[in-house]
Amino acid sequence: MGALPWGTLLVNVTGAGALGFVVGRLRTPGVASPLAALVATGTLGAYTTFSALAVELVGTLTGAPSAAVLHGLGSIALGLGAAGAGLAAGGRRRRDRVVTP
Amino acid sequence: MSGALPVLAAIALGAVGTLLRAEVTWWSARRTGSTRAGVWTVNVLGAFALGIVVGLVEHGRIGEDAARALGAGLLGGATTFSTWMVLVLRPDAAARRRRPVRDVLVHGLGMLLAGVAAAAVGLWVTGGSG
Repeated sequence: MGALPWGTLLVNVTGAGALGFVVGRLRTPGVASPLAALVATGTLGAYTTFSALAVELVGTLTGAPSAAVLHGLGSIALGLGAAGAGLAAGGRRRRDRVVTP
Repeated sequence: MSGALPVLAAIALGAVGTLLRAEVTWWSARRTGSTRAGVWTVNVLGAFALGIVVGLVEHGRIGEDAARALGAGLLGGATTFSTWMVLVLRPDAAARRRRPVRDVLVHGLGMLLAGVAAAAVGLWVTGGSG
């Protein structure tokens, strides 16, 4: 598989951050629209991928095990960081917005 | 095969994969009150299936276009990283207590290891290397 799959990492981390933001907003009273669910499940869920990450890790494990471990743990750490930041940013607007369609 | 058809096939199968994932996670939410089991199911099965697809294309048993439509389209849509990450940080209603360390280890690291193992089995079955 050669070089580290940066594309998968980029897509996954940005998608996790964006979904965190949407979910943070969803918890805000008055913001629970079908549109948000559509964005969350449809767009961001499909935008990110788990299967490619898993197969890439198997491919790297045989050639460069330490790189695979770093890539796996790094994906989780960056993904959780991005999702956490998104959740915080999405939830922070709680008081600003009272009613949204 | 060239032109728009392979792209359209990937998009169409991507939509199918996304709908499959939505069905499985909603079913899981209805049955258990949490989407967790559903996300585990689609991700681990999807990793296994992608292992098979990659193994098949490596041996020329299916073409590049078919592999892209099935791998990036169907299985890319069926599996998810973003929902997984958010679910680790913020378990939904059924997981009443938040146990951050346990959640990260079991549902974060645990799902990744399960997915890697599933992909390895899929690759092994078809003689692929990833």
